[in-house]
Order: sequence, then C-alpha cells, then structure tokens
Amino acid sequence: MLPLMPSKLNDQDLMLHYRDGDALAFEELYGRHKGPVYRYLLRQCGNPANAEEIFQEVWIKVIRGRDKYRPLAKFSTWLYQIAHNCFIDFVRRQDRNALNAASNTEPDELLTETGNPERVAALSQTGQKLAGAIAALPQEQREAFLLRVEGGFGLEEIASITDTGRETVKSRLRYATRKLRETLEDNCHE
Amino acid sequence: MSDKPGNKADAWLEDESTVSRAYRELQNTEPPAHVSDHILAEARRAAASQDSTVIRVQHWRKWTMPAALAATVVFAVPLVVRVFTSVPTDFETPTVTMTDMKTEAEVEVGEKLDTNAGERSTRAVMPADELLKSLNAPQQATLQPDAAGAPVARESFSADEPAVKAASGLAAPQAQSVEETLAGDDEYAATPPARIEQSELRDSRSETANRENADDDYAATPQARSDQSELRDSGSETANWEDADEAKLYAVESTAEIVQQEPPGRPEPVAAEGFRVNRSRSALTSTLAQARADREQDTTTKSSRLSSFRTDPDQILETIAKLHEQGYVLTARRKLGSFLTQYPDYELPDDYPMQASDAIFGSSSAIDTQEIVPEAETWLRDIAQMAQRGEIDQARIQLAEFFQIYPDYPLPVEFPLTRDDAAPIER
Repeated sequence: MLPLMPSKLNDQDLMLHYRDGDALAFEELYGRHKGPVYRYLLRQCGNPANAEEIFQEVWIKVIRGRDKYRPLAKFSTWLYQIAHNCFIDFVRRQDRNALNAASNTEPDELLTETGNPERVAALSQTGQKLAGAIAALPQEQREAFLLRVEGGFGLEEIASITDTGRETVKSRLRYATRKLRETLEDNCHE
Repeated sequence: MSDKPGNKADAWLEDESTVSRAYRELQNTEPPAHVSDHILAEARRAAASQDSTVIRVQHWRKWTMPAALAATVVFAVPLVVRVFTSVPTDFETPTVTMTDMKTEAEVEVGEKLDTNAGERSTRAVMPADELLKSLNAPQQATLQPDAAGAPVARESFSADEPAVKAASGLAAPQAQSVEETLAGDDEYAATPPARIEQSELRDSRSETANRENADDDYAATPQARSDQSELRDSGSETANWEDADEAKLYAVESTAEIVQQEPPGRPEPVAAEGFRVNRSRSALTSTLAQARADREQDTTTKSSRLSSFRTDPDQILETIAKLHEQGYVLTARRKLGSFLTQYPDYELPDDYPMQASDAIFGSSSAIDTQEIVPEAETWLRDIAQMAQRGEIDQARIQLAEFFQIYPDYPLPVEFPLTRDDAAPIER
C-alpha cells in the first residue's frame, strides 16, 4: 500500500484503504467521526458509561466489518447505521425503566456526568437549558435531531439510518426543533 | 409562526438555525482517551493481520472454480451414464407387444381353421379368386369388390387350403414357393391380407420393372403374370428374403390394423413405398377397405374373442402345435419360446408334440442372430439324426429352413441328404 495523504481522501477511500490494511487511514477516519458519534450516543442513552460501551462496540464492528464494506453509500451513513443498531440492541438489553430514568435525568446532572466539570462550568445557561431539553425529547425525535446536527444528514439519510419514512423524519425533526426553540425562548425571557 | 407552508419551512429553518447555533456550544464533548486508544489499538491489530487474511482468502478463491467444475463433473457423469444405460430397457416393451399381436393373429387363424371350415372356403376363395382372375384377364382392368362384399378377411383365408391353391392357378411348387417365402421368416405371421397385398405388390413391381411404357392398368397382366411367375420361380434366396422382409413389414401392419381396428386415414404400408400404385392396387385397396368395414361390424365379438385368446394359453399351444404339424418347426419353436416367456409356469401337456426344451427364446426381431437361430453344425447334426431315424420328410423341411438361414453353408460329405433334398417342402 502506497503512503497516502489521509486528509485529501474522503471517508469512503479511507475505509477502502483501511480495508486493504492501512491503519493510518482508520486513524484519520476515526478522528473525523469520533466526536459526533460519541455525542450522538451520549445524548441518546444519557449515560457516559453506556455511551462509551456502545461507542466501542460501534467501532469494533467497523473494524471487523471492513472486509464487507462496499462504497455504495457514504461512509458516515454506514457508520451511523451501525451506531443506530448498536443503540437499539443496547436498549433491548437494558431495562426499559433504567433507560427511562436516564432519559429523565436533569440537565445539570447529565452534564455533570460527562466527566468534565470545567466544561460544565463553562457552559452558558442557554447550553445547559438546551442539553436538558434534548434529553427531555422523545427518543425518536431526539435521534432525528442528533443525526441532523451531529451527522449533518438530510431527511433521506436519516430515514435510511432509522429505517423510517422521510415524512416521519421530517415531522420528528419539526417537533424536536420547535420544542428546543421554545426552550431557548423561555430561557431568553427569563 | 405563520400558517402558510412557505412560512412554515422558513420558520423551521430559522428555528433549526437557532437551535443549531445553541447546540454547537455542546459539541465539544469527546470520547475518553482510553476508549480511543483501545479502539485504535484494535484497528492496528486488525490491520496487521490483514495481509495474511487477504492472502488466505485469495488462496481459497483460487481453487473455487476448479473445485466447482470437478464437483459438477463428478456428479453429472454418473447421472448421464445412468440415464443412457437405462434407455434400452425402456425400449424393449414394443417388441413384446408386437410378439403378442402376432401370436394373437396366428391363434385367430388357427381358431378359424377349426371353427369356420365350411364358411371360410366360400369367403376365402372369393377375394383371392377375384384377385387372380383379374390378373388373368387383361380386359378386367381393375379389381371390383365382390357384390356380397367379398370380405378379404384374414379369418376366412387359408393359404394352404387346396381350394385357394387351385383357384389361384398357381402350380403347387409355385404356391409352395410363395408359402416358403412367407413362412421363411419365422417372425412373419403370414396373414391373408398381407399375402394378397404381397402378391399385388409383386405384380406391381414386376410390371414396373418390365413394362416401363405400359399402361398402368392390368391390361398387361399376362406379362405381369409371367413376371410374377419368374419372381416366384426364381428360387433366389435373396429375392425370397427381400420379399419376406417386405411381407413381414406389411404383415405386421396388417395384423396391427386388424387387431387394433385402426381408424381410417392410416398411411400406406411401408412395403408399398417405391412401387407404382396403379388402379388395380386402388381397387384392391377398396376391396380391403370393404372387407375391413365388414369386419368392423363384428368388432365386439372379435375383441372379446381376442381378449379370451390373450388369457387362454391352451388355444395358443394348440396353434403352435398346428404350426409344428404343418412343418413350421422353427416358427413353432420360437412361438413356444414366446409362449413360455409369457407363461413361464405353464406345464406343457404330456401328449404335446413339442417339449419345453424345444423352445427358442430371444428377441423376435433378431432373425439372424445366433441367439435364435441354432448353430449350423448343431442344426445339421439334428437333421442328420432325424434322417437316420427315418424322418425323411421332417429332415427335408428342416434342411430347407436351414438353407434359408445359411444359404451358402456347405453340407458335410457324410451328410445323409443333399442340397436338392431341401426343396420343395411339403407343408
């Protein structure tokens, strides 16, 4: 394998290079997507320990599934499909009540659990309100919103990842955005 | 928020933009370092083992196609061999059917010889007589059906009946020659319609061969008749065999036609191919058709009778015995073989003229195979012993049959009979 300039390659090419044995390509790929994927999982399950567990599981699946990877779609779509499925499996494994308890976690508590008190202190009041509002969203609306803001996906891609209809995704996004904006407006009024 | 769709979209985009800006403040959360280290270590480990895995996969794939081809050959070849080897077994059935049909036909002839002796002399002579008269009379252009229908029925015809021979105008040796020709093929059940057709075919052929410019009509019958006599007197074994083959072909068809009551529209017999079909033949065909129509009136009775023949081995044995008595020894032996094949557990009566050991078993169509025809030396030894026992007539008949099978076989010096003793054969 010839030396490559990872930053000039797109995700699909990097994954193909890694499939052919280039570890550097994977490091570049991981560096591009580790933050969004982690935040997507963290906002989804609300527990950093669970998010780390799912996060590792996602990337291990990417590593082990490299031979089956075909660049038929964007790498990020494939990656978030894996993350979505891992999260669904996690939800099925875990007790429903525990998940609901995590979803109902207070924003401050949630942010505290990120393990970075300095970051929490640095967050504005608006950010804390927004984090709490996201956690309070229904799971489907929250997932659609997170895929939108973290992965930058369009309606079609979100529908493909979550295996739902385009209009359903649009509706979920609209409801989620409205609720979050109302939260922000309330915070401004206060 | 506006209720208009356009305003709704704008509001949603504006909301999203506002929310997204606020969300960016939360985007700095990253996975813990130990998690990233673990994942990257796993990725490097997997990449390190990538080469060996790829080589192993490629090595396996290299043998995929040859292995598939080998498996296909291994499974397909025995299957094809089995299919082809099982085909001959499936084709043996029609032969047995034809043998059964022939046996039924001969049984029917034998039965009629006994039961309709009075009637047959009248009914049998008429079509043959009519035919041969037409051959003798140049003015009689065509053969007309008899006013009474003149049924050329097989059951009413007996070739060895003196009346027929006399009416036919053939000298005894000639008649015998015809009989010998027809009976020469043991598998040929010489049914009367076939014999008439054969005579007619012979006339047609001789006429075609000798009178190329002559009229199609039977006005030239005298010459044809002389040609016919030449053919019959030729004594050529080859000619006899050819005629026998032709007659056999048509006899089989005639037998099948009568037994099965074949519907109209049946194609012309194979033996007629290559010969000119003239008006006499057409007339004869119409005569046969008339006879066939008459027979169809008695279809129910005939069918039941044939059915009873199929299940009555005693009558078959009686017919075989008659064949044996009439000198058709080889035919009788083969019929007995067919009979014993069909009824393997049937015990022959004590006073039966043949024994089970006399039966010849084998394929009905393989006339010239060693499976059916006795070996020449064995056969000649039997004939010599027969002559030494004083059974001269039987030995001469056997010798004639022997020369039909082995026409060029030299007789031993010490053989009690000569080649001239072989013919004529008294039936």
